[in-house]
Amino acid sequence: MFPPPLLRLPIELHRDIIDKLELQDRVRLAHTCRYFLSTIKPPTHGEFLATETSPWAVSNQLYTCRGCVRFRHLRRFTDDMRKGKRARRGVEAHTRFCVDCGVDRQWYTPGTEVTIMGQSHVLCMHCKNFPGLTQKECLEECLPCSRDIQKMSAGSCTSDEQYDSEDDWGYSTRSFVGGKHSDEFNGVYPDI
Amino acid sequence: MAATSADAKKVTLTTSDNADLTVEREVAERSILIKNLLEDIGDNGDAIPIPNVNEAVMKKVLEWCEQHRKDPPASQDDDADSRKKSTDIDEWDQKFMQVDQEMLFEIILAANYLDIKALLDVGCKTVANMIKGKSPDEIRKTFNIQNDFTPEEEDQIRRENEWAEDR
Repeated sequence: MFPPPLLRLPIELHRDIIDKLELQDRVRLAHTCRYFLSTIKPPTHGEFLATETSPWAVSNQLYTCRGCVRFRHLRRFTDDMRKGKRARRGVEAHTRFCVDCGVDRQWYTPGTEVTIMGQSHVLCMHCKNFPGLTQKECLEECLPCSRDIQKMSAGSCTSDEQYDSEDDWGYSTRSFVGGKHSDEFNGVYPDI
Repeated sequence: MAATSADAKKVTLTTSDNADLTVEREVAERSILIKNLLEDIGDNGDAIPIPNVNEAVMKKVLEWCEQHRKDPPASQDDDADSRKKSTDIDEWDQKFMQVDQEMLFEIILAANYLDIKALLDVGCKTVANMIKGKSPDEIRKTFNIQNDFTPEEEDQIRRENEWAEDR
């Protein structure tokens, strides 16, 4: 079968065309067929960082993750990761990583408390997720029989008591409310 | 009979389908390939063979050269930054490029072969503009590209690049 006109161009002319495309258009072209996927290099971390300040990335609320080297929606980052020095154009924007990378690569340790979209979450020691519950609530959901386990093996690391002592929910709620940005308090998340 | 000065400035190009096109030398010299050829062999009045371009495409290319005969040559700086990424095309060129895809890509190939950088640039910008803002599926439809990924591969690409779905 004769290839369509676009694919009849030599590779150097494809490169000339690709050079004129913005990052997102380049990536979409790469996803049309094997030929373009192998011809178009995946964007680098630096290219993502340069593009995250573009009107397109801002309006789609996309931020760069250094772990998976791609854009992710702001919902996939803790609030700290997209504010201050790690905001768009921030001096430490290159250190920003998404929640999934933080968990998968163990950059967050179980029990870590973070704020996502203004809501406090604790990294559950059992399911290794941020389910939006306190450690105790999550353990009860993850391990419905945790109380039995506790009885059977008192002092094991999954016992409720240990989490009770580490569960600083009350403290964190207070400090979180106190440290909340007034806009966040009203449910508005400024895209800085 | 002595050739007039106007005649002396004309050159004849023979296309791949053996058509002779006579144009002013200044117009033909928008092509660096033809310019260099004329400088090397001297203008002895012989027709210059252009074996990679047919008459229809050559006429179109010469139409562009005629329109842009007085353009200043592109500087090196232009090449590096300002031209890159900018997909603005002037109005005349936009109309000129309103042709079917066969012709569009023939013009691009001819501009590349004849070494007419500004025309090649307009051609590439036109294609880039046809890609801009489209989903992979819309790009495939536009250019008649066969999707040769397995459903599993496509799934994985989509999962890893969910951000690219935003437009």
